[in-house]
Amino acid sequence: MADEIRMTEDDTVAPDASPIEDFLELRLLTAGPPTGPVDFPQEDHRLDEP
Amino acid sequence: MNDFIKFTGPADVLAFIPHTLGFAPQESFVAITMQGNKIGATLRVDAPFGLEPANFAQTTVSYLTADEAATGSLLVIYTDENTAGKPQPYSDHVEALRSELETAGMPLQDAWLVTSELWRNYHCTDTSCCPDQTLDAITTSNGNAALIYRGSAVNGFTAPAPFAGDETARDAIAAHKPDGWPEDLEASRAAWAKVLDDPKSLTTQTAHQLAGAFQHPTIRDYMMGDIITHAPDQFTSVMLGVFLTRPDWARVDTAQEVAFELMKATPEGQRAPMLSLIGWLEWLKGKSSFAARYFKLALEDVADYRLAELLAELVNRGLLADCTRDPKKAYNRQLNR
Repeated sequence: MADEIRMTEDDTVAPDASPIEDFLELRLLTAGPPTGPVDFPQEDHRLDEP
Repeated sequence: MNDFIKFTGPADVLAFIPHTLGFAPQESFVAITMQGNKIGATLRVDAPFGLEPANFAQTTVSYLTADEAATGSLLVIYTDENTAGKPQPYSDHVEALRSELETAGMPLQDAWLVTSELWRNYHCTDTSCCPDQTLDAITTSNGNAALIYRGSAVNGFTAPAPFAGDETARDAIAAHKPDGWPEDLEASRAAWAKVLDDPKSLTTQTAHQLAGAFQHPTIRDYMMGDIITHAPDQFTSVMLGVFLTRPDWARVDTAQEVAFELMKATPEGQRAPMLSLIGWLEWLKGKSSFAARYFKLALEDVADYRLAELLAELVNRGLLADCTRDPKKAYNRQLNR
């Protein structure tokens, strides 16, 4: 007979845990200096200049 | 109808910029790559007040090299900066940019200065051949009319709707905040997926359920990742816009619209997760200025909301979502005609 498995508080995710926040913190370690936001949208221009 | 819009002069180019950015720039440098006689990529950066010209030029051109088909470039300087002692504002920065663009194989073809009152050619200061022009010449240009005719509009920043619910909403959302059990995660993701598939199914109750789920950081993370299809296993890569294939951008638009709807059902102090989500999606679309404003609103809602702090810092360091560099994967606003 298999052992009974009981879920405990240890099986919940910590209320403030965030994989994304942990990852972003690591990414920021290698980010450059502050420059302000950079906008780089792609558009369906269908535009040309003579 | 897939025919091209033909631009016949600089006023048309200057009219195009607010349409593609979604707002009229101020104190900014806008660089446009040219692919032969076609317009390529559009880049806006903050005016380099106090920055060293060579570093600024190298950084700016490094963004533009994402356009591998570029054969030339245009530059527009938006500023009211005083030109005392120099013929033109930021002349050292423009010269450094000209040199870098030449090296990158996209030589500068022309440049214009736009102030809050007028515009003129940047390089030619002879008013007999290149006179000052009013800003009306931009808004009344054929290019502006053609863009509007095709359904484009310069809508600017979309402010989230204020809370429009009753006094029970706060407790209802708090009651829906999951404890973090695995089944909580699955239930929240299922509810989110259902609304993304059928946004009309959103009710006040489901809005409270979703807003409650977004209050739990881990569950919020998974719900954010679930917006991007085709790459469910690259959780962290998705966050930076590193996609294996083109994502379903219509689903991204839907997620953003649902998040705006959740704003109406969510009172102050509980809005930060959705504001962060909206900002992140703007950033994925290449609209970092708007993203920064949503992160600011998130931090005004919850002063130390960590996700908004980190994303705001990411944007302030000039990082672009990876997908914005690849036209095959980038968000592409389609015109109607």
